[in-house]
Amino acid sequence: MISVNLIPATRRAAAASERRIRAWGVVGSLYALVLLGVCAAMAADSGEVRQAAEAAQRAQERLAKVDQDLTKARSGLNATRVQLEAARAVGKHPDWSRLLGALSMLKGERVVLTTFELTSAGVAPEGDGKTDAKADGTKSRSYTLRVAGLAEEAKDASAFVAALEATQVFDEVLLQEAKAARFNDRDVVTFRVGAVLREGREEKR
Amino acid sequence: MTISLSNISIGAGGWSPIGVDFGQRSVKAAQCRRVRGGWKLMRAVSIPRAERTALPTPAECARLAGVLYRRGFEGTDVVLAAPASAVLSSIMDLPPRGSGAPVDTIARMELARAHKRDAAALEVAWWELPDPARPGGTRASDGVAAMAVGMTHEHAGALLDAMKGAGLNVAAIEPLPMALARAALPLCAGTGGLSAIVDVGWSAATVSLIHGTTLIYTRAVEEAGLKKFYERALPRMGLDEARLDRLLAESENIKTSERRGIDREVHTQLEAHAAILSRELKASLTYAGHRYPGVARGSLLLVGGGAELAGLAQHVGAAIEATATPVAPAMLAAECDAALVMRGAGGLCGATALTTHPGNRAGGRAGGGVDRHALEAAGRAA
Repeated sequence: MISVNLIPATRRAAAASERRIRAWGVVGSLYALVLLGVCAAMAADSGEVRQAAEAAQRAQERLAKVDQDLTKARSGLNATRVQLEAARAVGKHPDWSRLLGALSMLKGERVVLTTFELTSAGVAPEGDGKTDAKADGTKSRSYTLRVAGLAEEAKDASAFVAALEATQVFDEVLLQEAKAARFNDRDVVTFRVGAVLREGREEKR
Repeated sequence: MTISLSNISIGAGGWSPIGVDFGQRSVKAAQCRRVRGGWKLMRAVSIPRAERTALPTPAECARLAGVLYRRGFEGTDVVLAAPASAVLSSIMDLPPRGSGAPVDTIARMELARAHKRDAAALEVAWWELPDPARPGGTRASDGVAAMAVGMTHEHAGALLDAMKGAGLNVAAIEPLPMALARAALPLCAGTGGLSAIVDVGWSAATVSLIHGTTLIYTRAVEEAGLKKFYERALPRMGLDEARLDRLLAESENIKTSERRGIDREVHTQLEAHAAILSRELKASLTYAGHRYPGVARGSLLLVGGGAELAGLAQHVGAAIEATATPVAPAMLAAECDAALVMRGAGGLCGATALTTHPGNRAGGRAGGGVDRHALEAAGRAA
């Protein structure tokens, strides 16, 4: 069975068009909503990115500042090291009073010392130079001791040199000069002795 | 969004469009809902009209929208019955569809010529009629017989504007005989032959003849309308219209002495009215018998507000020697809400039949879109 619709065709077309427009309006609104949502999400994302970028910028600034602080600290450390080395150099040296005491005992009653000169000869290989000084922990600084004095006789000066050698504190003891001279109307022998003393010699022993 | 199933276009929730039949005396509306096994008549209402005009006024449409909302109708899509006075119909010969001739235009021109109208201002629908059998198997012409119905754009526009102003969306305007023929087809099926549907309305009684599944003839008879019955009966009985309404509606078991006298007069008037109706029906059936000789008679169905008048069916059935069956709206659906099974609801058949319209498929959306909020808004506006 057929059905009939007597609504004018123009009206039907207009109604259909209106429905299509309404449908498209709904679709368009939905599309706009989706687009808006996407934009909002993207905006939120970009905000996060901006925040992250700012955080990274701040971190970089902090890093640069830390670098600067580190550089300053390094320079300070270097200065402190230098000071420490200086302090060590100053504070850690042989107790020369003991050497003086030993010399006083060794010279005896017939010898008088007039000059005592101790000079640092710098860093030099220890011993035969075949071993690495740093590797075995010994000090390689050496000193040169020059002593001058008066002895009643030449044998007294030689006895003094022999006594120095007998101590085995010095690497080499050399009677550099011995000559007769007059002192307070008396005949005496003036002499000069040279000796080489190395640090760490006792520690090795 | 709607989908079409069977004859009825359905929307969300399975509701049909609202069938609206603007009679001259009352406006009737009905709505069905898809249930398991078919359709169930869920809502039906009849409202007296304030103005008995052929076309409804905007105020009446607004009042209707309010009533529809309050009575629980769903959606705003309606299928309107074309006012009988505005429908033009004609039977004509047309070239076959395959001839290449502009058959639609010819039908339009032919209908306009028959009713002396402007063809450009007419909306026309037509359908082929079954081949009339002729002696020797010859045809009157090489064309096809067709029935065309139409309505002027002016009338349709007035209806559409009035309904749109009330927030109602008109999905279709259909002549009531077409809707009744479609809806009552299951009642005619199996009987075969030529079935007749007589819509006893206020302004006229409309006789529609169905051959097989095709509406082949329709004729409105003003003389057989209830209005004429009232005009004849009221002066003789000394009653007003409302009193006669009540008398016709009251139970026949009330038998006071006054009632018995009135009943006799009513009976007399009904007999006279049935005789007029039977005469017109016979004339129509005779015409169809001549056009389709040898076709057996099928069902005779009475619908409309006057279908259940006491004794009318018996008088008409006896006059044409067939069983006349008054049709209730519940018979046009698989199921019916219990509240709508009542005597005197024959006037709602037209509105119920309109709910079977498949909707305006060509226009895009079929009727029956359910929008409770839209109907609520329309009701509030009303």
